Amino acid sequence: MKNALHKFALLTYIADSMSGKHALGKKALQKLVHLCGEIGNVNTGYKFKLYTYGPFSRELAGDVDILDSMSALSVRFDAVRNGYEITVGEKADDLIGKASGYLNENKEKIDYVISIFGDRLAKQLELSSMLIFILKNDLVDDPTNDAEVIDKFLEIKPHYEYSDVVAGLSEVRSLI
Amino acid sequence: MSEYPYTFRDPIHGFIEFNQLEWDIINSPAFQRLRRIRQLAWTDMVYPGAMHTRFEHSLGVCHVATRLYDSIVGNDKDILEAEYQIFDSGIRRQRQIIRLAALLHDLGHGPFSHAAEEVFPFKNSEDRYVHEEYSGSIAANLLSDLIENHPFNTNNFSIKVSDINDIFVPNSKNKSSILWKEIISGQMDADRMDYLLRDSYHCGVSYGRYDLNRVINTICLNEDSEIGGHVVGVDEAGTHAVEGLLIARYMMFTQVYFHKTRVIFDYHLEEALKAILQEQGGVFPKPTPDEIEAYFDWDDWSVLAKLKDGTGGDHGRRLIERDHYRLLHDTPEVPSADDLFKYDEIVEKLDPNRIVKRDAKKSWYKFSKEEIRVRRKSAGERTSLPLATLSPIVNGLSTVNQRRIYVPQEYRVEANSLITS
Repeated sequence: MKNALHKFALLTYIADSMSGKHALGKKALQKLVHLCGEIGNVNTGYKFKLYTYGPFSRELAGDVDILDSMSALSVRFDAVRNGYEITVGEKADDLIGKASGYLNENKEKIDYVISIFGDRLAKQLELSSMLIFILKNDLVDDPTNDAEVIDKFLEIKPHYEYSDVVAGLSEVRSLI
Repeated sequence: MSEYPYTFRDPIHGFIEFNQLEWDIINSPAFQRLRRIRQLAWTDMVYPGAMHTRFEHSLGVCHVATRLYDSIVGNDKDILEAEYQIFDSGIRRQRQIIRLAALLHDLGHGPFSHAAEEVFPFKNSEDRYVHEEYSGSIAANLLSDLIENHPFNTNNFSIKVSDINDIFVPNSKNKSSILWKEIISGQMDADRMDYLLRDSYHCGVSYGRYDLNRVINTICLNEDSEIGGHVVGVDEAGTHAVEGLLIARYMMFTQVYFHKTRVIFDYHLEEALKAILQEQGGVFPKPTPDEIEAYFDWDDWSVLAKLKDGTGGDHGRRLIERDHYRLLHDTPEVPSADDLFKYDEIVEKLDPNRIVKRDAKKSWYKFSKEEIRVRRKSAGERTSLPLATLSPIVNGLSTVNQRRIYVPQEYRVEANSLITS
């Protein structure tokens, strides 16, 4: 279970770190884990593919459900917000304790990512996560060409403002 | 003259029709090879009827994908026009792309389908190639002339192989293919909708049955407000039909795909393939232009010939004699943390060279609780909600995370005494 334990501990630790901030939804957690891997250089163990909702790991989605079953996470639907809210469950501390070696090794990197992105909403996280995915997965011919990257992003995600994408790309380039 | 003059009679869907371009693809060596790739590998060791192939499945996926697409267009043409600027000619062209993607998406499967992927070469330090990349390579290297220069295509659509590959090869690059790929590989995809019914039929079980017609009738594009953009989902009227689909997935996974005996035959095949491929480094050729033709020569028949002449080694013998490893320990389907830690303790007590571990989460066709958006209409306004919030049944389904340990029959007694000591 060693690798699985690390993944479980990572998700639980992020949920724990987000307590006191705004509600952590399923998609926001996906993006934060993706950013931990790409910006924090954390070995998350998850592989992300591009779906309509941006970089997404089916395994991670399944693990959130497994952790809910194990009471390490609590996943509840908020009808007012029309989204899920993930918080830590009663077994979270046990799980985090059992993976203390992995977490100690990566805590600083995860905290760094959360310090930058922890206060952002899912849509804002999607912006950064998607831009990184475009840059790192050959979705454009020339990743150094800002105009090409922005055009590709807006082709895939037309609901974003142009100025937000420009600012997001500038930030992402400074972080990776 | 009919646009679709060619017809197959299919045991699941009845008559399935094809046009001249599709017919010529079906008759190509690349597609005919799928007659020699069994859909469910060695599942016949448990369910003797499971001898069907990727050939009939691919025809079925083409049929179901077309019905899904037509239903979405019928239900949500306004969204396609307003949000995606897809009008009648674009709709017709996209339909043909989806049909071709459905036909071609499994071309790259190795002998005995998914089990062979454990013997695919690595493309980088972490990841092996996947069968979709082989499918894309076969389409690009062996079928591009047929597809791109076929009069049916050049006179009507001007579809490039890259348009088709964008639908099923990982990380496609254009917006519309990202939406439509959900029809071939998503939570409500034609692939699953076909294989559940087909595998159920051939295995002689009822677990995979559900109301396909109702699912197709109610499929639609739902807005996900959290992120923005659309996903393939279902209208509220189809809620119970989709419940049936998800229960069918759960039942087929636990009763067929992750059946305790079926699963271990995948391992024996992997090991036998490594022995057969020993002279090539224990892996299949890569899906690169210079190696794809060598890969193309591999199918079930070539592997069976090698097994028969003894090249498959001890695991090849085990396949021939049905002398499989036996289950020693398993966790519940949804284990607690304590179950998983106990599992680890058991593994620690055993000889690592004499056990095989299998993990439901890493299995092909794994059952994960996934989010399907359901459309609700209130006061003329469309909203969408996760299915699990509307369906107590779906909310009660959990991701299957079962783990198992297998041992050779000759180690079983000793292993049992070790884990009880």
